[in-house]
Amino acid sequence: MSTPKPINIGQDYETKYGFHDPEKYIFKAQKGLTARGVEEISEMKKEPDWMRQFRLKSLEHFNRKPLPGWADVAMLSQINFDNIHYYLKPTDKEGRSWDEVPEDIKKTFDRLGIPEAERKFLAGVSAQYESEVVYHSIRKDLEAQGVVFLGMDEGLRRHPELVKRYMGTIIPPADNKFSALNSAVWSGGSFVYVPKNTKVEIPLQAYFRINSENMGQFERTLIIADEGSSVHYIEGCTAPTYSSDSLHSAVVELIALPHSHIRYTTIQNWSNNVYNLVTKRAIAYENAIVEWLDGNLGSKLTMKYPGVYLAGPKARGEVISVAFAGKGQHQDAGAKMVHAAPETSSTIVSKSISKDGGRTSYRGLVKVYPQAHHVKSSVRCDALLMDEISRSDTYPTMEIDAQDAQIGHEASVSKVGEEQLFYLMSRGLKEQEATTLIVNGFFEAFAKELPLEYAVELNRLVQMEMEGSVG
Amino acid sequence: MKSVQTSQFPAETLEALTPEAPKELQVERRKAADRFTALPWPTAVHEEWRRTDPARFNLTGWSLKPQQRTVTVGWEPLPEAAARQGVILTDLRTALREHPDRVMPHLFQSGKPEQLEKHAALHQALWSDGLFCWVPAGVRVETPLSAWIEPAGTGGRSGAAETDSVIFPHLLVVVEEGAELTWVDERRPGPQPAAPIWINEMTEFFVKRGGTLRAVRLQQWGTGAAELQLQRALLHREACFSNWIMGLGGGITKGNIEAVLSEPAVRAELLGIHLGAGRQHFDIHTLQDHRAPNGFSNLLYKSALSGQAEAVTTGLIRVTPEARKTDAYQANRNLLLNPGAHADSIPMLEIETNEVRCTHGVATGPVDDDQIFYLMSRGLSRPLAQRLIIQGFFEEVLNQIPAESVREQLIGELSSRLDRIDASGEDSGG
Repeated sequence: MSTPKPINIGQDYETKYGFHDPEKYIFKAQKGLTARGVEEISEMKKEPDWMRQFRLKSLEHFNRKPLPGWADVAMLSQINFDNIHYYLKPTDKEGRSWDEVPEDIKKTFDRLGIPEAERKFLAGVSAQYESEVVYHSIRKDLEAQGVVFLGMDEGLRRHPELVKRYMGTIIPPADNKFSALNSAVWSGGSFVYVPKNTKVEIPLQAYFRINSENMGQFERTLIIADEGSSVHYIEGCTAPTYSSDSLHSAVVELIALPHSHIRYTTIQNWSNNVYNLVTKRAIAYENAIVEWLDGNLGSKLTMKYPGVYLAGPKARGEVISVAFAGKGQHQDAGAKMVHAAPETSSTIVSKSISKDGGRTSYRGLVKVYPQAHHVKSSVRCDALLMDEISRSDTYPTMEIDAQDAQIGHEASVSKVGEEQLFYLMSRGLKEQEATTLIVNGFFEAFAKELPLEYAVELNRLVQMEMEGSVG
Repeated sequence: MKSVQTSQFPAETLEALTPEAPKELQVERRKAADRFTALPWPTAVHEEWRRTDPARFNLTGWSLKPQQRTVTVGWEPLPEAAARQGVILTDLRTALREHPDRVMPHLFQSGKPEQLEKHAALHQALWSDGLFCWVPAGVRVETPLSAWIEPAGTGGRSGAAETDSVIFPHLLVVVEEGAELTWVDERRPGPQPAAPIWINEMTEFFVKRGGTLRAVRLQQWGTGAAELQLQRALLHREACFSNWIMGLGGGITKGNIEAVLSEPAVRAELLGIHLGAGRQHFDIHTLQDHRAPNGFSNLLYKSALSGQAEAVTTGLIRVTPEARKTDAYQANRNLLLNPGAHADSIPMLEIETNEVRCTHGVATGPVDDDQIFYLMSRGLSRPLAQRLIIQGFFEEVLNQIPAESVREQLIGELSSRLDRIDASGEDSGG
């Protein structure tokens, strides 16, 4: 039997992800957010006028909208919007091979293991450094089938009609303060289009890296799965550890056309000085399936509630979410399922662990509109508290307007079971090993859905976070 | 600097509501009136008012004339044995006159409700009538005690309820150390059930160390009633509290039910059933407030909704860092009988210590077609089959009611409410 290896919390993060490179930028915007700054981003990107207008209008929404009055109001109010660089351009071009990527940046991604992962098991890779996508590639055979996997800026240049048609339709700029901010200053992210009846069997991956201090990263991702197609998209993210805060505020829109299948996996591992305030939402048409696999391990405050609007009959939505909050962290994560069509179904599974004074919150919505008959939805939330000073909250909302909907919700909060510990220890495991094993088992529902390489990585991260949890 | 607001109610008007009350109570009335005046009316932006129109409760269109005797209270005579043992059951104003030493340490002493702040302040400023029950330490009251409240006519004209009555009844039940009581309080529709009436009532329960209180509330306000219902139970060491709420009447209800487990080893059970038809709207918020170790609480609220009735059930289990070894459960089940019916369910947990076991569950669904089919295949008509299923749905709660007489009374009231719904065709809408 393999023994879980104890590692100290944060210790490994520092050496593995917490490093930063010297700053060498082509362009670094002044701190703060102005209409002029927004126009500058648009000009630098040589965007069409409609996009410039879209950005400026979004800025107005951002300025008008108040911060959310819920979740962690105290932490949110600490964000200093004037102390953030909204745009950093690290290099002039988007490499198609790693050799074209500037040496420093390439070294960073080497250290993070991205090129190696690409060779081994990915169909395409996008690597974003600060505001821009610096590397991009997709397997030739997929490209030949018409699969598009580009940086969002490149996507806008090459497929303006698709971008104009879909961008901001699922998450309008005025949706919330942070979607407005992203819409005003977005840069980078992925643009994916999978043609009709095309199955992308192996995952596409995007990796997001923040390097400098007081940085704002605002990537924008749009994935369109045409009828009968399928795709699995994975994103990962890390940042150096700084004493001052950075802001990551992404907008991700998924369009699942009839009979298509999108799976979107996130392993969020930002350093503990990053605010991670993202809006992710999908629309699923007839018979389409959208799955969000959402793992939140890092960041200072995460507010993220991936949603699926089930707009066509028999569409299905699924969210499997795990969260880990250690010292000084608040993971406010959840899911939204909006049933707007008949015979749609949804499942939400949320697992969270709080430790060393960390706080996890599940916040969710299941809504069933009157016309959506024969809806089924089930929600399951489990939380583990590892010590007496940590906190767990559950705030699910169910709004049921259809008589024949079958809605179930269950939640539990507990500590690691003494009987389980006792049993494992009676089989010769040390308390620490037993605890780690139980925690890994707790996360299993999530891990088993991941590609093998990621499951291994997740187990390793969990072990890392669990160290020192006992004794 | 914020200037101190002066209340819109003159001090003498407030004092005239309960001239018999001690001075400190009058002072508290004035303070509450000031708080009421200073606080803004809630709007739909407030989380607690997102699912019930606050305009229905902000007194627009109501004339607020503080006055006595807008409420009639009554009770079954106290059994002789109980009276001999010193149990008190009377109306609140008589109690203030005759037993101030029993009333004053408790009246408005259960702590501020966590929601409906402005309305609670208004209640404390303007309450005029109510009920008081006190069970001395160690006394076990064998038979259930029953009381009721109903809107009276205003201005002393008997039977002539004005169309814009606003009433503020207050209930105070105190079970002293080691005592035991089964308590039933009923809300009756009054002489003109369809007349609009605005009710702002508060109930305070105190269960002292080792005491047991089983409290049953049967709500049968008239259809014209807009009810604001505040209930707070302050539970001391090793207290045992069970609470049944049966909501049948009223047009619109906004309720806030709180159980505070303030000392170790308290056991609290909160059970509720709501039967809605027509356009009835029930919005009930519950709080299981665990503040001390070794507490147990269990909540089960069930709603069956026909017509275009709506139920909003929000419930919070809160466990503070001190409340180690807490065991808390919360369940909400909704039965939607008609396409127009609507149920919102928000069960919440806030847990700040790890030595806990806290769970909650929610299920909302239609009447099971298989069950209807089975019953109809045995010769029952569809309405009768549906009715049996509703009664079965509520049985889980009703069966736990302790005294058989009370249980039968509630089952009877439920049944006659179902008769009236059937007869009026209230559930055919939507």
